[in-house]
Amino acid sequence: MKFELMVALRFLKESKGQTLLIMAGIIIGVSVQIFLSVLIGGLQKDLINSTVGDSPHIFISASENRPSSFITTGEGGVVVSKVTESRTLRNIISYNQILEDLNRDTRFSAVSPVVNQQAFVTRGGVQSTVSVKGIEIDNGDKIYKITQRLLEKEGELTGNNIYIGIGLSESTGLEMNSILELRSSLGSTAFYKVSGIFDFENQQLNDALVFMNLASAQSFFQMDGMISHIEMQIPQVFEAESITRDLSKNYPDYKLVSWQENNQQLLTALNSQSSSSYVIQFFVILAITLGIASVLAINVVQKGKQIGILKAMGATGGQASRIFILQGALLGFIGSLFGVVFGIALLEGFIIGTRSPGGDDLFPLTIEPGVLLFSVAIATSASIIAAAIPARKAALLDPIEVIRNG
Amino acid sequence: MDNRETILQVKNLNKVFGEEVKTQVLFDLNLEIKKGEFMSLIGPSGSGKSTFLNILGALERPTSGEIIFEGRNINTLNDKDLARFRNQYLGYIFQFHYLFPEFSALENVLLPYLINHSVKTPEIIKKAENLLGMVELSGFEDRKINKLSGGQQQRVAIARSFINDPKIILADEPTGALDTSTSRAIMKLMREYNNESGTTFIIVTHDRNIAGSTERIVELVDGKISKDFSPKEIGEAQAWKELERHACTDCDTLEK
Repeated sequence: MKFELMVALRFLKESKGQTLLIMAGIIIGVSVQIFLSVLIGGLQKDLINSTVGDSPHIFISASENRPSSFITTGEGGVVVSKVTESRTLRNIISYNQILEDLNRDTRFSAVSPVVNQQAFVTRGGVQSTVSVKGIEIDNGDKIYKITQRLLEKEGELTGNNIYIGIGLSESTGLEMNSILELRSSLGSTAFYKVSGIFDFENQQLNDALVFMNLASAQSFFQMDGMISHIEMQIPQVFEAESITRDLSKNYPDYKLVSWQENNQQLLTALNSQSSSSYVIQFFVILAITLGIASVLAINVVQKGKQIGILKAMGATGGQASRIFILQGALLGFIGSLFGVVFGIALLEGFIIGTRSPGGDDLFPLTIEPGVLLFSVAIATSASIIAAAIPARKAALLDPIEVIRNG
Repeated sequence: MDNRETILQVKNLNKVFGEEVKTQVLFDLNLEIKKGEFMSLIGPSGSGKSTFLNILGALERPTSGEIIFEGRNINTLNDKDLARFRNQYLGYIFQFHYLFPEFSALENVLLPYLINHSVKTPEIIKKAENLLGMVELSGFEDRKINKLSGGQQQRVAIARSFINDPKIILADEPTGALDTSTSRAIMKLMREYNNESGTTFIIVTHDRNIAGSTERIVELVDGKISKDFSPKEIGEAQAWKELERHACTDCDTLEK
């Protein structure tokens, strides 16, 4: 093996122009591949994080009983249509047992019972609709990170204290410690005090979301002992679907929804982005492979005489082919190592170049060693595969052809 | 009578080229070569002497017949063992030096050794240096091949053929690309090595002067051995006559 390595290295060193050219090809290819995969990966992570990072991943609500009708035969053979009267059940009535079970389940990082209802705020003749979320602050905070997002805070989320968004505060002129009147859709009214103003960096939420203590919400919306739904978070967001499917077996009477079901469009977009990125990466690798294959194919022809003489002097077909396999492997491995360095430099350049004037990154990019290793492994194996055809040619080369034809 | 041991024996050797259109180039050759012999193989173009040399050098397989090296039929070896056999027991000198421009003179000499040895020992480097000294190339060890003259390149190739202490050296027109005085020096070099080491030499040549300086001359005409004589035994004058005739047959062939 040492002999083959020595000859391979010398062949590469002596055809410097060729070696450098193909090396440049590999470096560019690998760095683009790394740049692309890290960028797309970071972008998707950021998108998913901003979409579901601070929101529930799985919802459990009571299944809705819809009125159903069927046709039956009445007295005297008359066909009649019968409508079963069934009240639409929208709230979870006995939720303590479910909560207990879910809290015991280690798959969930947060379990939060919620009362969610519409209400109206009237202020200076302007009426705005708000979405009131009644939560237990400890559990709700795990999902929504409310405390981190409070710009101002005076007092906990208890009793008649509420937190409102910065948008609502601006449009209605409500400030800290302002008192406001909420009216529920059932007509009941009550007064609340603004004890926190949050900024979710999302206009819709900032304009319309109001947090309230769970117990206060239950009594305001006349839902004593009931909740609208249970919200849950899990550490690995993409496991939501399978966990939801699993949970459905335990709770056949409830409606379970994963975040994916509510974000089909986003997921489709991410998927097509991923696949187009894979396609690009695949073709980049393919281009590298073809480049190496063609350079080595030329190399076999150029070095045909040398290979023939080596074989005449006693080198075996295996040794001759390993010279080319090693050339491929060396080109791929060293080229991709430089490609990794160049790729990281590209990413750093991108991060610095797209930084906002305030010095914030556009979105966080994490370069995982696994991704880099994978790139090196792929490029090296592709190079070895590319070397296979020239190597075979070298193995089959008959020394007598070289000697006879000069 | 030559009482040296036989190193290579050729028995009923035939070589046919082509699958559809068959051309037989060697017909039932029988030859015995002694250990330490310094012989030449002559014959007109197309007589099959290069093919014969390639078969003797285990580079080509005969269509039928046996090549027995020290009692062993080498035709039974598979490709891998045959490669090993060539590396261990045979040395080659070609008309064109076929040195590696990628390597220095010293590395070129070492190449046949490195094919089957992973370590360059100080001993082998010393040996390669000595061989370069023997071919009067001391001080040229680190020279790249294309920085050497034609005669120097051929001398490196000769040093290379000696590195594994081969039993037989096969030379195909070793002086074919060189001028007369360089040719003479190369022949002298090979003869000296033959005397010192007892290595058998088989030299294919067109050159009567070269053939005349060997101890045995085998002539091949139309794939058959037409003459096999020792210039010493039949006397110099007779030998030159024989070679003269050879030159004429060569002329005839060329004219045809």
